[in-house]
Amino acid sequence: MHRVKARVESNAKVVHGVHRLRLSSSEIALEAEPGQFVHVLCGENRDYILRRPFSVHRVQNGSFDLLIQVVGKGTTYLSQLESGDALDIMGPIGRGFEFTGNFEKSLLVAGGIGVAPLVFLAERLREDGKETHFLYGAATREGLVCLEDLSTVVQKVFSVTEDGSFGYEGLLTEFFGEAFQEYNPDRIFACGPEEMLRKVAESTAGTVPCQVSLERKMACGIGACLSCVCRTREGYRRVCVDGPVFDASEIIW
Amino acid sequence: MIDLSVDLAGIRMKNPVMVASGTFACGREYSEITDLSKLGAVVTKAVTLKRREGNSPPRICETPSGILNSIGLQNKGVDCFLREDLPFLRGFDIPVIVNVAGDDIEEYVAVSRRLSEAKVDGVELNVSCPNVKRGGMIFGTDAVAVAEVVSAVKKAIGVPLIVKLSPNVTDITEMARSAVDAGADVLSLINTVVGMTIDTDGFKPGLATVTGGLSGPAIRPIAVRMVWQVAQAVEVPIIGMGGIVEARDAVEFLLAGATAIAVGTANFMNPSAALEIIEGLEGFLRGKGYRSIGEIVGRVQA
Repeated sequence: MHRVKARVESNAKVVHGVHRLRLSSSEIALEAEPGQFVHVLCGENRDYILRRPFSVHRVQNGSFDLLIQVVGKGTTYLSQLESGDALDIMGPIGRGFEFTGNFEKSLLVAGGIGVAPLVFLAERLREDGKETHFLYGAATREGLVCLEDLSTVVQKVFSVTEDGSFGYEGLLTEFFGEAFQEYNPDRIFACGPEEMLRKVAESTAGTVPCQVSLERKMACGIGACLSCVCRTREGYRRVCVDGPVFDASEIIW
Repeated sequence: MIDLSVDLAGIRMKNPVMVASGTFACGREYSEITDLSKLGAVVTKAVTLKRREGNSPPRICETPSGILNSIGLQNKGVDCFLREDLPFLRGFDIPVIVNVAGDDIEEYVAVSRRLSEAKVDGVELNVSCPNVKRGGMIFGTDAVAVAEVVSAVKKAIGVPLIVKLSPNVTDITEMARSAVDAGADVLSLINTVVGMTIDTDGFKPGLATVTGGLSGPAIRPIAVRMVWQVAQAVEVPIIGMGGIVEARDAVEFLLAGATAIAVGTANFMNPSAALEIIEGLEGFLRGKGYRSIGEIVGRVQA
């Protein structure tokens, strides 16, 4: 893990309320693995004081991207950054997705902004020559912010929107069984709202291995403060460094 | 050359800047990104007799200029601390002060005795944790109970005894006097201030335990006031803490009467906060023409 002053290379508004920040750091770009995160100081303010954790969304040569959904003061600050600004960042942190095992076909399940680390994972799976399918849900078509990026990376995207403006209408979890049958995967990787993760975990229990990326409020982000724990079969574990990716069977929902 | 060294009842520190209990675990995680050997001292997360699971999540909320936490003393127990963490911390050649918590006097005594036998540099008695049902703040908000636990631990150990006071009392000087009369060598203050937040969409408390401990810059004026009051009331050295983020904040505590200071919540924003404060203090003293840190302790013109 490093602590760097990363320069903002670009800040692109993807859709209303979602920004893609490209940050320059060769250390983080080189070391980051899909599912790991960076811990970002959102300005030198004294009002909201904690860093914010964000999954690494993609890496390039010498830089990496974060996909930021604007929800509060910290993310508003990030959304207003301009090229050339500097950010205090710690990372890469945590245990990412385990994707080197013996499997053929994976299904990646993304709810909303939970797509961020799964694009990175899909790219690595493609490099490894794996067959990868994607179940992607959001409230509206606009919320499917990575649909175009994914089209070149995975075999097929099964899209679901709550308002029916694109793909199937309803909640992603209502279509999980259908997508599972269609693609017949032997690995599941999921990131999104906790309720979605719980349902995906329950649907896959005892069938195929499923890994979930959890999100928690964090303070230190490096395993010291014990603020971000989740309940597992081995007791409370730290989402920051024991996760954020866990085997779904470990989690007590 | 500016002399930053301080002596806390025999705990000799090369500078007055420590890291506060609970924010730094046992240093291992931070050692990857900051140089522990430059610190005045490390104060570990609370250690209890047996392993503790801690409280149900959610355990943390961000609040204006602060955080509200309720970790619940999660730790692996004193045996594990002595086996795994103490040898690690000894490698940095700085004083190791161990924060001790317990459900009852017997537990405080048993843990403190083990640590004293292992020759830690100091024991900090946590009679001020607001997030446990037994022990903790129950002791620290009752002058008689404070005296009982302090005097029992004092008899059992041969290393300096620091007592960490709770701000959740009507008169902190009463607790301070009681602790000192019972044998406290040093006082540290303040622990967190009891608080509560409510999610106005879900109508639920922000923390699973409903209430928690508030820390960060939000509590700094409360802490400075209490350090100043206690410094008037007792003769022992004081470790001041509560929302210290930068060197000027530390100077406030020193002027109020603290001999040393501890950095807590700021570690989360800036893992090198304590080191930057050490440099900042040196710069401050040089700029004002002082040669040693002791020259400004208690110098507020109030």
